[in-house]
Amino acid sequence: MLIFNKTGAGKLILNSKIICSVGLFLMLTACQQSMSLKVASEIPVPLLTQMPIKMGVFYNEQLRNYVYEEDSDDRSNWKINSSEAHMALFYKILPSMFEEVKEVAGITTDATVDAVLLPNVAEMQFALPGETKTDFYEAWIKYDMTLYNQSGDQIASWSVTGYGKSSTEFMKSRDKGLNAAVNQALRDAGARFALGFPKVSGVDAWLAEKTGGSI
Amino acid sequence: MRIGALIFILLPSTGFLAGCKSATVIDEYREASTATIDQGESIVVLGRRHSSSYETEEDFITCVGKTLGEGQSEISVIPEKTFVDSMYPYFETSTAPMDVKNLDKLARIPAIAAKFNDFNIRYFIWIDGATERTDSTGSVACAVGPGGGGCFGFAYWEDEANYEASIWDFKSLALSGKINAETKGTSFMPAIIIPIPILARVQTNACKSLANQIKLFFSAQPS
Repeated sequence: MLIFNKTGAGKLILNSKIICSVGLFLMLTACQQSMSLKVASEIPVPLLTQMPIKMGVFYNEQLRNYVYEEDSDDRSNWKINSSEAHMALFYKILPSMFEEVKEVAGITTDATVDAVLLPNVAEMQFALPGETKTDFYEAWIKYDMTLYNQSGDQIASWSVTGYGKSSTEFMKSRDKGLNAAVNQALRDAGARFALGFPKVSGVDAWLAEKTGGSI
Repeated sequence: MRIGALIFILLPSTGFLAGCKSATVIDEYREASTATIDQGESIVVLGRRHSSSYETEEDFITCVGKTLGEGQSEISVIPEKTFVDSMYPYFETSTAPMDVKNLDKLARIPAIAAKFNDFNIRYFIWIDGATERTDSTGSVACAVGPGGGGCFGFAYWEDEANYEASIWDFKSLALSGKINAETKGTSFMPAIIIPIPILARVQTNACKSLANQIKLFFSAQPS
């Protein structure tokens, strides 16, 4: 730093300015490491042909209140709340997949639906450009899905993963970059779930039985 | 004194400006004998984003689409986001067709066929590539004091853009051709009190060159 100063008083003012600046910089650096993000998702209406199925869905507390939390040396006090984004994804996808969708209170017997779907967030992971030495914010989502029949017996259990990345751009904040990556991961998971559902082992046979092999 | 300083700054800048340029190499491969867009037909320009090491930039796809829609031989272009959102979940990174055969399979699904019909799509243009910094050197240091501030130094960097456009004809469900655009350019930033970036605009030049070649692809037929 170049310092042009002639008087003692000026030096004192300048020194206090430097101390303030360094303090402010350190505070900002500390703030940068902590994170409190609420994911805002944007999922389009799927272009799917509805299956002639009355599907019950049990959104448990784990999904309804999912918050990713981490408090490590590199990620001090990270809180990424994606609960509403997960709910929004299933609210968008399921009515496009099935003729009728009904929220149920549990996986126990419900004669008004053909089956009950239980989605769970198994895992979420994130990566920042500085950590991976790339130009991308990245996000991974893994859902554990379980399908139960009318008697509450398990038909199938499988995992659905989603990956999203968002490039670092000029003036793009970390929160905005991560949000875009999570949104991409949600879209990807939704796409894989919707297109993969009829092919899941166990679901395929059950669907064939329910629909007379029309799917 | 001030005029002298201005000349001192502007003179080398003009020199660098003259030296700062980018060069583009276009390579075209034509599979179909003819490629025409009839009245009312549209095209969609889409980016490939399945590679883990790079991602075709959204703004590059927007730029190509915008350039194709301009000028005398303007083409009706469906914006990428509009198309991908309305086709969800079939054109996501992990689910999009990787070749024309898979597009054929998709087109057999009635809901998708109806949507393609609504858009009146004739050609799908898939663009794969990215602009990367291949070299950079030099440094610019800035300082602020009570009497003012300023920067001093010199930096330069080289960017390289490499994009390939695959043109799929939806009518014949076949690959019409491929166009490759490779642009290289060097940017400078001399700083004498004020930093003056002299940019090579590599990505923009690659976009314009690629879009113009796509226009030619549709207008000029081989003899």
